[in-house]
Formats: sequence, structure tokens, C-alpha cells
Amino acid sequence: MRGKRVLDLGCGDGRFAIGVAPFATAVEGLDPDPDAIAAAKQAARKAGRRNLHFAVGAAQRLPYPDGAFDVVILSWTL
Amino acid sequence: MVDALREVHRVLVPCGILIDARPDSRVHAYVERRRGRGFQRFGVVRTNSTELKNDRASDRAIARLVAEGFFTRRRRGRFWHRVGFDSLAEVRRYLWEHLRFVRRAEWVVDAATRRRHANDQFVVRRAVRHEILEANQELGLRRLSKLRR
Repeated sequence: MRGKRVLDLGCGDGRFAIGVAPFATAVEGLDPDPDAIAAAKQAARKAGRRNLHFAVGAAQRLPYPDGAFDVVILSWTL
Repeated sequence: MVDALREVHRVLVPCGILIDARPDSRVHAYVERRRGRGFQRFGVVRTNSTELKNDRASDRAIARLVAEGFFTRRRRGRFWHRVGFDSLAEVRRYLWEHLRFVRRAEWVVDAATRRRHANDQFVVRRAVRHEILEANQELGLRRLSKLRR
């Protein structure tokens, strides 16, 4: 994960993304559940990470350009 | 699911890595009592039929994307994940509310043993599978353009 751009797809409350953030260049978390994303944003603020962003969205239509990430994580998602 | 995986391929750089980790429903979960250095098996917990179907659909989706040339399998494995509980009643409550498991364990110890150790510490031990796949950019894009035609 070191120096990589990471997408945590189906990130839920963001605990995995927050765990990865100290190592990665940038981490994006995406989940269809707005409540989970609100919790993730709050947790990210507490963690004080600037390279971490969360958004509500569906995996079938990812709001990112082609080749935006080095690593995609599906943790308990599929 | 296949569409989502194609999207994952699109947002990955060439040779980018997809990590898939999820409970392995091909292996039963176990209820175990903590004792000394080890564990005593108390019961077996099966995955419910809906989740079994979902897991098989996920397996098929990944196999399809690999067959279509979007990804290459690089490494896979399995580890055990333990969730701890302070009593057997807590284990029962967890299983009753859990969405993946059937609601009751199949006990492998008799009722007297369960009563005797009801307030001991327990764990639910379940298998988690993980797989690392690498994005094949050129081959995947060729297949994608064929599919769109």
C-alpha cells in the first residue's frame, strides 16, 4: 500500500480505509449507504488524515476517471 | 457484480491490484470455548442458503472476468477470523442476529456440557478467503471493446 492510490470499495464505516491511510498516498472510500459514509467521514476527521476521502456511490458506476487507482480493495463487499 | 468488476478494472492502472477478501462459506464456522492455551469445539455454524448463493455468484463473476482477460489471479489464501464472546448466551444472540449464518449452531457437545460452561469465554471462528488479482489492461480493453460492439 505504501505510496499507492487506493480505493476501498464498499468501505462501510471506513475502518479499513482509515487503517490504510497512513501508508498510502491517497485513499478513497465509496459505499452506497449514506449513514455509513457519514460515520466514515466523522472517523476520518477524528483520525486527522488529509489523504482520505469518502463518498456515497455505487460500484456499478464509479465516479473516478480511468486508471485512477493502483489498488482496489473489496473487503466483505462481493 | 460483473459490471462492478469491469468498473474496478477501468479505474485501475495497468497491472493495478484488486484485493478481494470475504468470508469463505465453503468452510463451516465453529463455536469454540476458550480453555487454557487452546479451544474446545462446541458447535458448527453453517452459512444460510441465500448467502451461499451470493458467494457462488461472486465466485462466478470473478471467474468470468479472469476468463475474459480483465484480471489475472496472482495469489490466494485463507485465514481464520475469531470473534470473542463472554458467554454462550452472547454467542446465541450473535448467531440469531447474524445475516450470513443460520440462526442456530449444531452442537457437538451434550446439553450438560453446554450448561456447565455457559458462562465461559467463547469465540466464533470463521474462515476468510483473500485473493489478489492483477489488472490486464490491454487484453481487458480489447475484450471490453468487443463486448460494446
